[in-house]
Amino acid sequence: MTELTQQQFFEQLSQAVVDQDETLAEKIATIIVRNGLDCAKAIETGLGGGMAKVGQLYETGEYFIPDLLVCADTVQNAAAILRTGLLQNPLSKGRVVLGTIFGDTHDIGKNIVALFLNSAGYEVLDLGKDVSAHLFVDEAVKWNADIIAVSTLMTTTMKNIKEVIDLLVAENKRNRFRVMVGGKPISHDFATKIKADGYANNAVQAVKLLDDTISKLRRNER
Amino acid sequence: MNPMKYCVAETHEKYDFVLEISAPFSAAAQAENGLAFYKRLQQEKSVVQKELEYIATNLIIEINTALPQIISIADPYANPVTLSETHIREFSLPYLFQLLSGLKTTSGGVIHLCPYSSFSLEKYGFVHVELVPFPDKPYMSVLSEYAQMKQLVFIGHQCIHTPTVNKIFLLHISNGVL
Ligand code: B12
Repeated sequence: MTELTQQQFFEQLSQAVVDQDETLAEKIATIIVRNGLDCAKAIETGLGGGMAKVGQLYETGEYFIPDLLVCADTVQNAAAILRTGLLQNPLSKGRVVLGTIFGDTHDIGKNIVALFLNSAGYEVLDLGKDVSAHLFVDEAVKWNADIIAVSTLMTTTMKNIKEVIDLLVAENKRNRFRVMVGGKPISHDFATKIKADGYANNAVQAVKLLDDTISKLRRNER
Repeated sequence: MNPMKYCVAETHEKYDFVLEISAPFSAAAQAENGLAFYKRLQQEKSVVQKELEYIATNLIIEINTALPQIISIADPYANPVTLSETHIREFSLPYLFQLLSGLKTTSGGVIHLCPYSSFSLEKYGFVHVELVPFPDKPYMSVLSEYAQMKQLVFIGHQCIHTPTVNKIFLLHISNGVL
């Protein structure tokens, strides 16, 4: 198989993700595995590239939540097939504990963020909605997370996010985790004010934010 | 799973004579996990549409037998943040319209629509709107006055939580839209 045909397969895979064609994506993934092509690259450029295009379509208002959900499923099913052809387990980019803050039961946006982070290679522990500050911190410690990601959709529950940060400080754990915040009423200013480490206004930007944060973290660890 | 359970949500937090109801689309979304339902819009369009028609039909029967003074209808899952206009036109508005057109009463009453829904219904010709101005009054007392009238009145374009208003938007159902 030449480099060109391999590239063509990856492009077709990427297009299947954009077209929300789960069956085709699974078929291409199977061919890639059977022919011993580079599965890691297929995940990165085929699926990852497809999801990046989907993200752009979402940001420009051409794709909506139902589209994102089917695209994310397409990626996850094809990725499961491609993983069987990997020589070694893919390295997780990082561990994220995610949830909607207590008092708030909106979870559509948080779930989209979880899907995007998963598709981008993060391990995500989703604590659900109406999550207490204690649960965020305890689970992050237990799970040895890199990031605590907190979502809220209501102005009335924004202030609750600060309790997670205050608790980390009180328990002397503030330096162990990076805290990311998001959701409709959140802004950069608010994130700075409560001393969070980062903010993103949608799932595509959330992946970028975490990629930047994690690569800085890893650089500092070295 | 019984989507009808999610239609009649609860009585209004402050006014017990107001019954809050989810429109067929949101009732279906709440009956299922919201995201799983959204995904089915892409994958099982005609199945979902049949379910919505079933919900609307049954909701009409339930409301026509009970008919409280004021019914407040919202469709929060059919909003322009999560769905495209095409989704809203295909899955939300026709079934909300089916519901509204099926409501019959001999004893008056008010059907109040959340502005998200009433503006969309107007935009796509399902209703036309008549503005009635007056000096400032509490919104709930205006709605109660309309509820005493002999015929069923449809009202929208303002949030039911608005404390005081100086106008009301009457919605007239268009004929022959579906
Ligand atoms: C759908 C909806 C609901 C659904 C929620 C279904 C669910 N499972 O989530 C239902 C009907 C159940 C609901 C209930 C309520 N709702 Co509501 N709801 C909405 C609505 C219409 C859309 C929200 C949504 O899903 N957006 C789409 C997602 C994709 O966007 P998003 O969440 O912002 O997420 C994106 C980004 O913000 C970012 N992001 C999100 N989280 C995170 C986290 C991190 C770490 C990062 C980096 C990024 C990130 O990425 C996401 C994807 O791109 C909004 C109106 C609006 N315009 O936002 C009102 C709204 C949020 N609701 C509101 C209210 C008041 C309520 C209720 C209290 C109503 C009531 N009286 O019962 C209850 C909540 C009860 C409670 N205590 O939680 C108000 C909040 C007002 C306020 N105070 O700020 C709003 C703004 C409506 C309004 N204009 O009044 N709601």
